[in-house]
Amino acid sequence: MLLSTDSVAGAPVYTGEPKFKKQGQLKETMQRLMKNKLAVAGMVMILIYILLAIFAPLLTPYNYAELHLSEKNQSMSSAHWCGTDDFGRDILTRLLYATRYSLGLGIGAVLIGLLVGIILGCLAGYYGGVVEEVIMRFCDVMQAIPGTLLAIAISMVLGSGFINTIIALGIGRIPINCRMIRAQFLSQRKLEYVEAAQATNCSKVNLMFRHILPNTISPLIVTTTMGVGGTIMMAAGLSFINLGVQAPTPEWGAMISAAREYIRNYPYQIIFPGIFMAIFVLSLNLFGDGLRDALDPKLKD
Amino acid sequence: MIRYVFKRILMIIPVVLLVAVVIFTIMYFCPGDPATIILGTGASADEVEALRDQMGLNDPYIVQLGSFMYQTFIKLDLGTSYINGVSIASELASRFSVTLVLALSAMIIEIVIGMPLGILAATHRNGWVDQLCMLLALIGISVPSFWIGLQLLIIFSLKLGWLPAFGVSSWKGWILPIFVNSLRGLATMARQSRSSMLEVIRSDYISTARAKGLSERRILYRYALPNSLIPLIQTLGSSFGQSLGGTVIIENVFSIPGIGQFLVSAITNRDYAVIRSTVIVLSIAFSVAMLLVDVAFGFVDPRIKAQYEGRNKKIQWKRRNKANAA
Amino acid sequence: MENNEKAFLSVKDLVVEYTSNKQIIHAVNGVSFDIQRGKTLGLVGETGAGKTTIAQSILGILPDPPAKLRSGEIWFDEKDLLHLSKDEMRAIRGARVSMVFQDPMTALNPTMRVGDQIADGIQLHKGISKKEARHEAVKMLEMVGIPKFRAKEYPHQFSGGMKQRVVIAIALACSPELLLADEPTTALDVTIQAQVLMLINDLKTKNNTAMILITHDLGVVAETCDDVAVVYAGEIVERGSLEEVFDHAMHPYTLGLFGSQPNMSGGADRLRPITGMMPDPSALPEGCKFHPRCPNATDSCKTGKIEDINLDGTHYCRCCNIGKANKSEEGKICQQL
Repeated sequence: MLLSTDSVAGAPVYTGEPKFKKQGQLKETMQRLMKNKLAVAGMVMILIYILLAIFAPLLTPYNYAELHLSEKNQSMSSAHWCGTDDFGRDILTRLLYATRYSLGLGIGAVLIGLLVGIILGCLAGYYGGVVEEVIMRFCDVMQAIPGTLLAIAISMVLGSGFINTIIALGIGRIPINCRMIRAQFLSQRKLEYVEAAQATNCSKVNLMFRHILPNTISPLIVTTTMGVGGTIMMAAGLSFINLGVQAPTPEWGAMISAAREYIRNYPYQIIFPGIFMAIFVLSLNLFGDGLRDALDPKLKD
Repeated sequence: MIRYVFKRILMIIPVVLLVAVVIFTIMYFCPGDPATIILGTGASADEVEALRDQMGLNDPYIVQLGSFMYQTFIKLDLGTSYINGVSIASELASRFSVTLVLALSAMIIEIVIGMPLGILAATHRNGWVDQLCMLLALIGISVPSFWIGLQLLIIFSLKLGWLPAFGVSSWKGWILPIFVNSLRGLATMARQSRSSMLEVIRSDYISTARAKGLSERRILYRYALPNSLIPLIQTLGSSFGQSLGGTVIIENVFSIPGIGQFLVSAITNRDYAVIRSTVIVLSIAFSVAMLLVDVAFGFVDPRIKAQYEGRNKKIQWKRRNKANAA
Repeated sequence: MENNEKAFLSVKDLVVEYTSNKQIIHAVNGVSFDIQRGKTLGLVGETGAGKTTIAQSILGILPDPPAKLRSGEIWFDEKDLLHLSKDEMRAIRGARVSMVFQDPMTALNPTMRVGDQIADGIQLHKGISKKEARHEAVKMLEMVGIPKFRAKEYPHQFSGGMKQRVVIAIALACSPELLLADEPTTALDVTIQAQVLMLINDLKTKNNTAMILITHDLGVVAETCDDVAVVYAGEIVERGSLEEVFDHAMHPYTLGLFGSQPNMSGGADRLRPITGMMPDPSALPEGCKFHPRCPNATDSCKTGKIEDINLDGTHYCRCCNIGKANKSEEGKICQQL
């Protein structure tokens, strides 16, 4: 090992051993994450919700869509732990099924944004020039439209419904991911000039993809996790104003909206969906925070 | 500095125009025929066709786009509602102040309460102040605003009767909507200011300041604070965008006669003209607000200030030297 | 050394630890040295040896949550620095003892004019008005070779070398009696390095300032220092005057340092580094910290506290096998590749 460890000021040194680095980093990150009790609590909660979503039919004897008008607007009881809504449907059942739809909305929209955003970002970063300019202007315009409003406009075209809402929400997430990937390309491009003398065209591409994607994963993971929470909130907002999913599909926002008429007499109809949703989003945020701290511990303290 | 402002203004003009193009294009594909919506189901096919011709709905896309852009930006005519024929522009104008109050107050609360809270948390990191603030902030970004709004309505309006349940006829009517609308932005700003401050505190120039023997107080106010504020512009920006989207829902919850309420009823009625123009106007409002924030920070951030000052000083110095030497 | 009380700066058995993630990192493990007024001590060692921590401890700017000064004494002009009140310490910092930082790119406040950053300290320590302080600041700038009109500019408008000059101006603004220069030229181009070193030396000579020069560059040490202390794994393994250490090096590590320098005149095919690596400061070896890499290590090196042995005059060496290693054995210590 050399005595003096200084390199040319500023330029990172390619050690040619990205594999070791990745493995070691992953393990370290997991360890740090596990130590953070709040993050672990969040993670456990998220898993619980996912299980609830998957096993909903097994957990409840009721059907979320069947009307039992004779039992409408009943308060909490041993038969209905969270009471019934104005159609006589068991609220807890609807909450459990709603987990499926809300989760689906959140994850679906985020994935769309991720995939399209990454592709666009790679195109912009790799080709540069006019392609990059066009894509970046597109991002500028999309980001100039507030997310909820954009989702509203797209929902008017596609109509309401589960899949349509996923698309409407997903499109709004494209610019963020696109910018993140492109930023990575930008910083790598600077290094490229250092390598310019030695690199052939082929290894340029290789280097880019071998170093860009691993470097982007950390910020991307954190943004994505927090994004699911934000998307679910936005979806709930959309359902609240009668876009989003349609009846009788249960969705937390829709349930709150429907219960609005009855807040005077049956406040529990609003309280339960709200708390259910808040706990989930809180868990996502706790987990997201924990991830961010674990991936870059310097930022924590 | 005027040059900087000019530059920024020039930059948003194409964005604004493109936003209008994008929104128009998206709404172009909306199902349903505007003429039918306006005339109602009772109208005859001939009447519908006549109206379509009159409205230019049979023209190709480009022509419609051109005419829309011309109407909107040159003639400043935002069209009329499909449902009741009111002038959209006048409707928006009368409702504008209400929405503006909501959105602006959210931004002010963010700056005046959110930032100090975050900075306080950062300077007492890991103490009880920090933990408490961050817990509250975490809850603030996790609860849906409309739900909190409704809950507070139940408590303060229905149960306690302290505040009105809807409308903003008295000042009391503003309390809940403003609070609920600013909650998310406040929480986000607190979190962001905290992490920005923590990062700044760790910087080398803070060590340099300490090595000079300066008091912690001076270091906080003159070295740490200005640097931690600059990255927060972006947070302010995206928060404002979110709160504009949020007013749509909040106005619905509290029955406030703002732009959001107008938009929501248009959605229910499939009034595409209103939706289109409203979204464009709100987006323009967003862009203008961002411009103002950018400019304001441009006055504060020395890197920008210096760009436009320094050059003049150097020229003056050289001139003075020449005069002295002569 | 017998004249401990008379030394201008005297550090005795300094121990500093960092706590990170429940792990304890032993950054400084019992460091002792003295400096006389107006003399320059070169603190030499690899990155991570603990040199910056020593400097920070003297100045009292250790980042307190992770770092903890466990034990030791620091005497400055017969004042016990570790037991001064915060206010008393702040009065010394920047005025009597100051520091030049390693990385000029990040050492200056981006949102404050350069002149004001210099004037800040001046105003505080000299108790004069802002206007007067600014005036003095401008004089300092000119002293380090920066034109007057640039005082109103911001750091980002300066090049690396000029930024470092500003840092030096800040450090010397109040004519300190002790200057801690932490690798002041490492982040700079070689051509600027020489200029900056010359500048520091000039200003130092003018004011008879004592200096601790932290560096890993032996050439710089040879040019500027009166005394040398070699730091390894948080300990000073050898110290003495420049001639004592450079001409009569005794510690195997020191010998390794000199031996690894490529021979500029004779030409060299390959570099000859010392085998092994500096130990992980959270898991230091027992006994002599260098023993895993030392070819002369014996059993007595592996346990217990290794004492400083006074070789001659002011020459000290922390090794229990002196005499077994000498200059001709340089080759053995350095890796034969």
